[in-house]
Amino acid sequence: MVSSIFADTPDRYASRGFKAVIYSHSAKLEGKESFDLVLDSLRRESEQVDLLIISSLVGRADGTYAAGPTHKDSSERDSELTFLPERLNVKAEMSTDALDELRRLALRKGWLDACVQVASSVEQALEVAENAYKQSGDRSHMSCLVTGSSYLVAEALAVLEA
Amino acid sequence: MSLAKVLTWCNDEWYSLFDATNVFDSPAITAITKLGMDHVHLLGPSLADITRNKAGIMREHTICVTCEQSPEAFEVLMEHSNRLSAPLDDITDDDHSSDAIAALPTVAHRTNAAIALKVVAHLLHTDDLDQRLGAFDEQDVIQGLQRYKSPGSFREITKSRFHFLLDTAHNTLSLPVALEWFFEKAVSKEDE
Repeated sequence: MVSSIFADTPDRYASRGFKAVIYSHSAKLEGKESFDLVLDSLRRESEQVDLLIISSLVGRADGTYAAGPTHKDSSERDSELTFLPERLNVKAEMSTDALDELRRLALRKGWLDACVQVASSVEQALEVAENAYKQSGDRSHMSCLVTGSSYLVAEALAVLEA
Repeated sequence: MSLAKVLTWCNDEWYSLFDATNVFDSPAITAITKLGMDHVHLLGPSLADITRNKAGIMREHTICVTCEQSPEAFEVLMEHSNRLSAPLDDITDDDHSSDAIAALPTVAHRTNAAIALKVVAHLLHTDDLDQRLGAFDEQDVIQGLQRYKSPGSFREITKSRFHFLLDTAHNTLSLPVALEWFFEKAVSKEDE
């Protein structure tokens, strides 16, 4: 397991916590521009990040939304996720092509192949991060940022708090 | 209803300049938060273009509260301010001094809260409105800030050895803030 996302960064942080970033954007947002920014920002912090996961916006591996209608009966969850727009029901997942395109963009910017993963759901993205951490060996813990889209964060919250 | 806060919102096609909220000819006050390169494909391409759209909510002889802006944005706001005789009131360091504001997680939160407090302060000193607001005062706003909770904003969830940090940053203003927050938290976790 490599300990850096970049080929030109020395493997000198293996004993630190494992760091992952899960990112997604909806097609309607200024996605590529934001993704460029994420890539460039992480580049500046290159020695600290181990894994970037580009995720689709659906919550569950079966293609359903974890934070969507299945939780509408829970008043507690509704209040917890008040920022979640009703229009989450709009299919907002990114296509496989879109995910792969972002991955290629990261690789063109110098990211190591093994350190840029795509996930077809938020649930899968979280699993990829956790599995990568477990395979990293001696890391004490994992810090994982989930960012880029309110849909993504809503889904991740629903999965993590389920 | 004594007073209503009306939030301009992007309905995918029209923003502040043509926003539906502009049916209100005489708002008691307007406020513009930090301007940046957001919704560029609709409002841009430049920050000046974006600012011109956002400044569409400003009204004649009506105070507009804002925060520190980039020179490019501030110049546009000043143009509108002068043309409309609408005083532009920037928040200052003193406006960040309350404990409730200091307890908020990021500069962006603190700045927005300071703007809100300044708006209230102006309203409480506006003839007629002060009567209509009744017993409402700045302490009510402070209490509101203390109860502030945004589940998708700078949220941390720790499960065993997994430390998840979640934030809905999605543009060139908010993403660097979220990333900085992430690295700060991740490093402090390593020091525990």
